[in-house]
Amino acid sequence: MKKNWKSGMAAVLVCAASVFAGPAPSAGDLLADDCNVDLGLVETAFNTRGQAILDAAVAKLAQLDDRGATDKKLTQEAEKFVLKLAKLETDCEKVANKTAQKCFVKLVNLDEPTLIDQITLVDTVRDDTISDLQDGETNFQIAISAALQDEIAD
Amino acid sequence: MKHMNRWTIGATAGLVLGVTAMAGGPGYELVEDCVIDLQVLADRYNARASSLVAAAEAKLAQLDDRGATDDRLQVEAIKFIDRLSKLEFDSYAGANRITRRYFVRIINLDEPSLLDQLDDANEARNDFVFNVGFAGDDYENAVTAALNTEQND
Repeated sequence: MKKNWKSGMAAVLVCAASVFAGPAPSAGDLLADDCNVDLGLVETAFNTRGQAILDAAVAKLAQLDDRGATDKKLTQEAEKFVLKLAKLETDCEKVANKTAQKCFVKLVNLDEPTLIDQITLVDTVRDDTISDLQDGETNFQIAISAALQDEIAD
Repeated sequence: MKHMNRWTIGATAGLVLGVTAMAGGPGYELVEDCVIDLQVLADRYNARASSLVAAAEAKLAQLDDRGATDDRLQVEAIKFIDRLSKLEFDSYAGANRITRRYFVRIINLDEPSLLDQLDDANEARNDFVFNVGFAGDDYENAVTAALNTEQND
């Protein structure tokens, strides 16, 4: 009897929780969420690699400066790292576009009533991701320029 | 009535085509193609549904001439209405297939106005479903009217 009362209460609580939580997300909504997570991972990968390139640039410029490299040589070396960053950004943009496109096709195959909203959501996240990648590239480039100026001023 | 349905479907397609033609670009050309394919499907639906209504009218008149009971006439009319329903749902399935195929092609182009293009193609599909739904009601009503005419003969 006591057990029945407990399970009854549990069922009431679960019911109440589901009412407050609203309707369960559809397969398309879950898929769109997954795509947004994947786009976030592209950005994380870019930041990790961009930071590695920046660290390498700073170390290399310091090393060259210690060895008495000219300003021109330092500038050339810095430009190489800036180009690497640009390539990394372009590659990550391509990956973000591919990720979003694959997701769009999967959403079209589900073809739920909210299809256009789901695609719009993923497209917005893609735009944000690409914008963040471009901002990130600019910031890394500024950091390399600052490192170059430090070494030239040394 | 039939002509009015065709006109409505045609007018909607013309409107979408006019809007998309102004925008231009390969993605919008795909939207135009999608609208045209849906228009062709709508025309085919209208032609087949008209044939079914004509066949229903002829069959009911023939049965009535042969002295069929009202129940017999009703059974026959229901058969034609079922066929019209099947035709309507087959058309929806066809429209969904056509639109999804264009969605994928538009996505592969991935132009800056992707969302607008998808939205336009989706709107054309919605218009198709809306117009064919109304046309379907009209065709079914035409069969029902033919049944009532024969039963009252």
